[in-house]
Amino acid sequence: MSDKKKDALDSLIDFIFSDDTPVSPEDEEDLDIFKDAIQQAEARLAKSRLERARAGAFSSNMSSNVSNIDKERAKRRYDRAKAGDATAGLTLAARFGDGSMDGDLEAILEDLAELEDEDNDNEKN
Amino acid sequence: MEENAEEQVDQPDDEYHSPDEAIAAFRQLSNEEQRNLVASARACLAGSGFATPNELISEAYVRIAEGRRKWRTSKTFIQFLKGVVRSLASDGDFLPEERKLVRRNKGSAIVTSEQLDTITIEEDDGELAEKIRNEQVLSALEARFSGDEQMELLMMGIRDNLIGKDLQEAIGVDATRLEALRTRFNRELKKQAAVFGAKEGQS
Repeated sequence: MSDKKKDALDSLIDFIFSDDTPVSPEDEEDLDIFKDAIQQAEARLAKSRLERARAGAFSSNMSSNVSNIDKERAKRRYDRAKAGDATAGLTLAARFGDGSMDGDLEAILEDLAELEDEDNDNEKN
Repeated sequence: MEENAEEQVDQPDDEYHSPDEAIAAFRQLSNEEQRNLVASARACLAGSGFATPNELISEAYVRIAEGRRKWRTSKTFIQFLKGVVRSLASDGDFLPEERKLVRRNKGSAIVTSEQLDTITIEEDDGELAEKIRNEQVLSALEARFSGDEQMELLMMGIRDNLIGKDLQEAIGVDATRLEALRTRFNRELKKQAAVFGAKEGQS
């Protein structure tokens, strides 16, 4: 408490902390308050750790496992479907072809690649 | 107060213990230190009625564990802890707004927009509000001991930042008598907290 001016509240705390008498039965209530406070704090910390872990797991599940190669393949298929190639095995809604969805192209390609992965997995099983 | 600054701006020269080290020290407090910590929390909360010593200590523990309050290596853990308790009690900022209102309404959870506005104004005024809150604490304690000459002298000494022998001399007591005054001081605060707890329907 040297680098800033001490005020009366600091002095009050110093006064209380200068009590070095051994604890007595009268102090049991305070020791219980301390113990309860630590337990409650630990419970809060555990809860927030759990919430963070859950959020991390969710975020990890949401992140794409799709590789660039998968996306390139999906892009070629998308371009074929867009050009009207029926062998692409993909039907696009009319609005997909007019350029209005191009902003979402990345997400669409990821979805397509993921679907392809799932199809492949299903074929293997 | 200095620890208040510790969590805000890290000076290049500052070195800190890790949160794990701080928590280890917290858990290793002696029974006497635990008692003194609870008594300090109780004293710092006098006059506010917004929180209990349990809540304040619990909050201090959480903030230290999460690294939001950092323990400078140049301080003892007790020095650091005193600062945390003091600043938490002063900023009055660690209870949810709704909880403050519940406390204010003596257990009733009725919340109106008008009440929320009042709280917001009170919490937004920074340093001045902290001074006012600190003054509330001291005034509440002085009111509690009004008419008790030695306790009044004790509070005057504390206001003058006196400690140890200087405080003894100011009050005109020896070390044993000062100890007795401290015991009485702590008992009175416990009584006051018990009365408040009973009003709130708490144990």
